[in-house]
Amino acid sequence: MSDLTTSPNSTSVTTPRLPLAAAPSTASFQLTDAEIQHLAPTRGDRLFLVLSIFIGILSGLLVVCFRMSIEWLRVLLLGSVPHPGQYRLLLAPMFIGLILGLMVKYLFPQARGSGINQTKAALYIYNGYISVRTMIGKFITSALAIGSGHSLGPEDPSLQIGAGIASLIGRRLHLSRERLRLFAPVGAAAGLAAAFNAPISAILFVIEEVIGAWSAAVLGSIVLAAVSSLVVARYFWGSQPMFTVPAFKAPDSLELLAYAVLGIVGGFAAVLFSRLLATLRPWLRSLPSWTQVLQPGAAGLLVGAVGFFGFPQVMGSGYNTIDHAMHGEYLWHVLLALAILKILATTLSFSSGTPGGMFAPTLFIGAMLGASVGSFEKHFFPHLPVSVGAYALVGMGVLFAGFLRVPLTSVFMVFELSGNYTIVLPVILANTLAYLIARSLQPVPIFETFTLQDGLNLPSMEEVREETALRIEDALHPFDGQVFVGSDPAAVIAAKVQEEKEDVALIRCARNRWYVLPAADLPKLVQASMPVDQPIEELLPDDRAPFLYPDLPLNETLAHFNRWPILPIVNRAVSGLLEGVVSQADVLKCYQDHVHVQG
Amino acid sequence: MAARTAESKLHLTPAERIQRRRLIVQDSLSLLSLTLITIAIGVLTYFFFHSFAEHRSVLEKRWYDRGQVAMKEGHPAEAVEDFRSALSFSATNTDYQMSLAEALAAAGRTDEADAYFATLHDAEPGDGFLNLQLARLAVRRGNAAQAIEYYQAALNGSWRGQGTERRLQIRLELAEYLISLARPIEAQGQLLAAEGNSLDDPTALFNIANLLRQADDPTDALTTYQRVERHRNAAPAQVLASLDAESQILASMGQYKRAAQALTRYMTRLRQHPSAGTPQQNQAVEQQLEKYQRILQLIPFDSLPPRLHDARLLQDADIAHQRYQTCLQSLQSSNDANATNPDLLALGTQWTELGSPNVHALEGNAPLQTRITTWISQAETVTAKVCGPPKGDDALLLQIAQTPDKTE
Repeated sequence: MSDLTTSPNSTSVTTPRLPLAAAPSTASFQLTDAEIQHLAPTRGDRLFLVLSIFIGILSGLLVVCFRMSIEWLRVLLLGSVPHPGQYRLLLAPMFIGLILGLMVKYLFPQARGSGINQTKAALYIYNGYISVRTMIGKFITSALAIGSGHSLGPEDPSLQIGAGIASLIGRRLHLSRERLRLFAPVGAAAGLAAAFNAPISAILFVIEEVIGAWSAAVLGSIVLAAVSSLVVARYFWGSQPMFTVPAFKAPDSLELLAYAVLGIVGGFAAVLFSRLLATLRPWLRSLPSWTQVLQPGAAGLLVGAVGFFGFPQVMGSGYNTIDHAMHGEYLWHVLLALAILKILATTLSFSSGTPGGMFAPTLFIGAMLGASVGSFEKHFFPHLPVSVGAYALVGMGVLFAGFLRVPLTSVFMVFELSGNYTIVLPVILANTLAYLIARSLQPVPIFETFTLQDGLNLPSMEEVREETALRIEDALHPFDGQVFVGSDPAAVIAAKVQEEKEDVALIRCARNRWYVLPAADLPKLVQASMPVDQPIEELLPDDRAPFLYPDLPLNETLAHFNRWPILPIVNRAVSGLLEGVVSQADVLKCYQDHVHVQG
Repeated sequence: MAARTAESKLHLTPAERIQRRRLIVQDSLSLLSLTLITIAIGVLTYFFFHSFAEHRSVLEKRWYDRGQVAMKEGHPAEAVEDFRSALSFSATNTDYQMSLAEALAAAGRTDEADAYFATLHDAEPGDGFLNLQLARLAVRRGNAAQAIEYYQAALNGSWRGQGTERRLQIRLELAEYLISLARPIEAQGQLLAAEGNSLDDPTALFNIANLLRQADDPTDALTTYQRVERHRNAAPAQVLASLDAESQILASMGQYKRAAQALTRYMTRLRQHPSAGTPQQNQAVEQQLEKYQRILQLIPFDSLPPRLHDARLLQDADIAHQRYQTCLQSLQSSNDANATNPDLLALGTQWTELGSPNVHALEGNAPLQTRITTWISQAETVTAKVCGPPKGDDALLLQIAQTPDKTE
């Protein structure tokens, strides 16, 4: 269990000892990765898929236990239904906060924070390694924090618990380092799917925020694990969606204006939320070390005060409140107040280092803002057929897009939660507006800000997603020299090449294949010609230049320059038709120019 | 397929084959142990969850019961919190949602209740209960058009197996609301429709009859009261109340004989069921019966033999004249300004013009009979206005005067 060393300056940035998977992977009878690969080449692929199901099931079970623990603790600490004026609302989060401060400082330093960055760090830095201690710590501390009323959510910890399970199983099965690294996002998707009861959103979130790109190697396993965990979670919790969204009709064009307003409001709210977190978190962490033990307690007291003096809805994950808001149970100004108070409460809880996630608070704030806009419209424009539930739903997507900066997930999440496609237009409109506003006012996404504050340098998923891949056509240029055919005699080709002072001869051979012949090789072929007018194709080696097309990624060319001085690029439609050529120098220059432009 | 081919193409030494087998065995054991661990965790989770779910359902029921008690005791504000608490354990429970919305409405939180019901209504626009609740909220907000629309939707909505009773109640509620809006014709339509659907229910018929009276439809009200009276399942108290109401309607129509007959039947029924009426009520009915009988003695019905008719007309004229003289003298003695009331003075002039009518003068003289009848009506009306409400026979004559169509 003592496999962690804590860095002196930061409690969340820890460097694990050389993890098991980073060492040469060895089975109990001392086989190396290469030996296993030699003995059973398909073992990794097969185990990967089978283990994905186990990861899904185990993640699902643990997440069910995790959510139950939160509920038990909530009833135990705050009562079955907290009401303003109950002193336990003040005391429970404060005392549990103090305990959490000690636990995070001395027992589970990796449990601090949301869990998403830790999972990314495991993927990119620690070869998929997440310690058992971290996983247990995350489970206990997050359950205590959320159960005692800290304004945090269970999804991000679930994600890390899932990733932890995946890491543990991968290590026990002595999977290769490469596989072990891929297991973290598989477990993450499983954990999130079970916690969120929305498998597509979970898969997309992991792809958008953890992996950063679609990867065929891992997609199948992610889907398997997410579905398995969801089956388990639904066995226990039932198949009903997380929120009972009231039925609504497709909004008319005029109503889209209101949704656009929601997108703008949500965008600014996301920026406000991000900036508060980005400011308060490093400031609190810069305070003396002993204060950090007290910070979760102090944050708990303040969050509890919000509940004590009238708004217990902001405590904990707040899913019930989201449900009530969706049913239009609150007036618009109450909803607005709840959104603002939740931003403050979550900023306090999270910045103080209390373990717990940002998913639920983000949904809460979005739902309150959305419902507030909807209720406002309903109150002041009663003739419009407004569905507050639809606004709350879109509001959740808006904050997701603006704050977490996962635009694709935000859209699909709304569809998945509502089971209704008619809301597609408002969702896309509002989410895009929020995303653009948040992006322009807060260029660095919040999770990236956290990693930078923690001294880590993880890849920016937003940049990864938007990276423009260079293609062969970017380096392609027409071939200036003469093109020969395979039936031409070597002597004729040699004469022409010499006359034109070409470095290479480009020869079109049978079946529309191309051969690139260096000028220096021509004399030997001329000598070998027997008779003198023997077609050059008969003298050439068997191999031919690869089929490369202009739309392929530029890096596809790199592997071939050892063999060919230039590469002929052909048309996809007309077989063998030469589009142009690329040389190694062309490719290099293209990359350099690209970096210069982006730089 | 490619992977299988790769495996089949493996060229392993005997030692490597042994290692390969050991690897397969080890992986199988690992997967087996993983399966066992998964099953163990699954079983633990199952029991943990079972206990958890049980606890939740206990809490949920406790809050719901508390809410219902609070509603019964007339504390809707407390009930709101209780139902909300119950819902936090079972967010999709429709009964809890309805109860919460009802409590919000009862607590006067009309906007919240309206929003809650409207959202539930969005989900189930055809639900009768939701439409009824929304109608009531619209009534409370004073939005008559919306209220009537929701009432109609409630009538057409689904009621989960108790449609007939609920629709009848809604029609009565809607009719009552329409009466309060002074839209009696629409109310009558609802009530007649309700009556057609409730022939087996004397209580409903009685309520419908009462509302028909309020909706200015005495004829249909009378018919409905008579249905109650004849209904074999009607409670004795209902029959008595119906007979009382019948008599009042008949009297208001000038059908005093039938009114008296109704009250006679009342007394007969009362003797059969002495506990059905209260002593005060019974006493009032007896007095009413006496009154009607006296009215029947005062009215000069056209169907009476001419001599008797004329004698009764003269008797009434004499009573009215005495009332006139008493009134005039009291006004003059007290120097009241009304003593010079032109209508009162005109009565004296008219009486003088009539001369001293007698049976012989009246015999076959229809114009004179009419003039005397008119004079009696005017005398009782004018004296009631200037000298206060009459008593005794004068009061009855005034009532007769106010009843346009008197039939025997």
